[in-house]
Amino acid sequence: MQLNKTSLVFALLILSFITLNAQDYFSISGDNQAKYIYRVAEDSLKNYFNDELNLNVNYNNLTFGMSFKANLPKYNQYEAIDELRPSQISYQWDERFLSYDKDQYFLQAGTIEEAFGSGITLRAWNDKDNDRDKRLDGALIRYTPEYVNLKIVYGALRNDITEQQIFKNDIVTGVDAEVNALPGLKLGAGVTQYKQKEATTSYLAYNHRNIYSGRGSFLNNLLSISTEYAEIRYEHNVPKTHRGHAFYNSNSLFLENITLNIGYKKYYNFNYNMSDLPALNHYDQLLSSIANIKTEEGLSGDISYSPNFSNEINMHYSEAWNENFKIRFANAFAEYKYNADDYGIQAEYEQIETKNQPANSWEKEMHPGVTFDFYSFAFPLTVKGKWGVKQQTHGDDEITLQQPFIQADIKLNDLFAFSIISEFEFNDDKNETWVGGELKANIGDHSELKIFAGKEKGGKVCRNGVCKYQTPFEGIRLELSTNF
Amino acid sequence: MKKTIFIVALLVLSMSLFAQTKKIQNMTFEDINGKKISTDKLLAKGPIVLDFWATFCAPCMKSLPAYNQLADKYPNVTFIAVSSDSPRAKDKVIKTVKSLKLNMTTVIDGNRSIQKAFNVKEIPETYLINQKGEIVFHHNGYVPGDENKLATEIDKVLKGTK
Repeated sequence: MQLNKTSLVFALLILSFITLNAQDYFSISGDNQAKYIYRVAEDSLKNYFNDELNLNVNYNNLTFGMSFKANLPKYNQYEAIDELRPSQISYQWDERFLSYDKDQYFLQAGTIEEAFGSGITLRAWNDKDNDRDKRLDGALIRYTPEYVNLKIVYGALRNDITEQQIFKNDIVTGVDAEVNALPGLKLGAGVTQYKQKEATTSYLAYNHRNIYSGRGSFLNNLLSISTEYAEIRYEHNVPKTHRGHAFYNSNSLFLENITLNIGYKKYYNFNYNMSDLPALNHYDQLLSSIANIKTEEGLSGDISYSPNFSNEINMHYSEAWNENFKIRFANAFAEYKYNADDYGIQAEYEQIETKNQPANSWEKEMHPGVTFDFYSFAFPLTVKGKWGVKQQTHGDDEITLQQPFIQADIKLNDLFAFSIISEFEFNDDKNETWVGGELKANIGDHSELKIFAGKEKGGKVCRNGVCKYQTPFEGIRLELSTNF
Repeated sequence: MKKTIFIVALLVLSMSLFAQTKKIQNMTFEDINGKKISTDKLLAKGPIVLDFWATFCAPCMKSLPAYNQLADKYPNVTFIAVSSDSPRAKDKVIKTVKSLKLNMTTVIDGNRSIQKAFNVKEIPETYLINQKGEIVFHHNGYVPGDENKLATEIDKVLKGTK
């Protein structure tokens, strides 16, 4: 009987949604991603099913948004499940919010993603690259008349857990204002308070940190100048000598066919959890991600030359260093693109060098690569090849790794596309291979089926014409996505 | 069992609704020049093309110049390039837009509000919205030649057949 009641309730809900959706003032949109995984691993559960439903229900100026995830059980490449237990099956509301958007006013309660300026002072977001959930549960107000952007944020961190620390329930309060002072000129300032929960032996306490920031930017057809400064002050439980600051500046000059850019950064003792500091290099890596440092300082330069639609050259060089120059990072990148009517060529070279004298380690990576696009074939084809060389020295140990990569994407017709990626990493002691293929099939206008078989390294993956974040994987994966 | 029924019901709901024409809510956002843009005001002038992209996305770097040519071809259609880059990459976005000489309106969706409204999971992703505010064409990914499909759909919208 209970089952019948539940079914009836959902049937009624579905009917009401469909009926209401026909009205002008009411709409439902969203997508559903159903995923079946067959895992290739011995002594482990083989079959996994995940579903993610994202739904936005709009009624006049009100929006209710939600994201629901079901893991039967959750797939983790590194965690084998020897036997299925009820505790491994999980359902979670990944996101829920209610928002009101009318003219200059935007109010939201629930799960919040927001950034102040370039994110130095505050960036609340789901960082999938680093598996960190820095979204907030709380409230957000935006007031945006013609020349002003005002944002007020209050919320608690949802579930940001690292190996070292749990940031769950840390509280963030922030106000940020930006004014369009003159055409192209923007001035902004913000204050954020971050209360970090710390467990002591006898009671729970919060460390208070106040972050004050100011920024300015100017953009016209010839110039782009952007500067931001932030200062962090620890108010309670931490000595005041622990103050820190962050300074970032980027300047671009746009000439007829040439774009020039120089940038500078200096971050001193700015290890604040809700900050997203600009890396100022092509590889997008901060020095603080390599070693535990107090100061990070760096310079970068870029030149782009594009004499016509067919030719484009981009060059980049950047360096970053710590306070005593003993920890350093250098990044060089050069790229040439040629586009003809029926084919395209892209040649690139990237070099990354990191030196950590205190740890007696040095690392160098070189990645030359070439991509060919053939448009004139019956089936458009893209072939991309790269050969990376990674040299590492830790004390007396020297390791050199060869990292070839080849990818071919072919679009068979409007319905089917296929991509195959092979990545290798080898030297005398190690030989690892990732080979995988993905077939993408469009089913009608609103659904898409992807079948992946093989092994993939993970990260930001671009294949079959799209880019998305992928976790490391081995096995067979079927993904059915439907948007509505 | 109840939870399974719940999931199945949600799935059925999503599948049953996909045939509906999706209408967008009015949204206000700011372009890289600081100009406020309201979708309602833009739709009063003509259809809108929204192209979601990012500086790290290789197919997007091919789609942007191709759609920029369409923007020149269809002056009555507003082309908006919505960058899904992080706010810290704002200067990189501006450099890219200027070096590609894009005439399209460029927006940095730093808090992902536009991406959420359109449920964007992968890039590039392109939407064509007619003057009634209905999404009449949606395309995921880019391979050279896809711009011709978009042009065909724009023609249909401008002729009033879609």
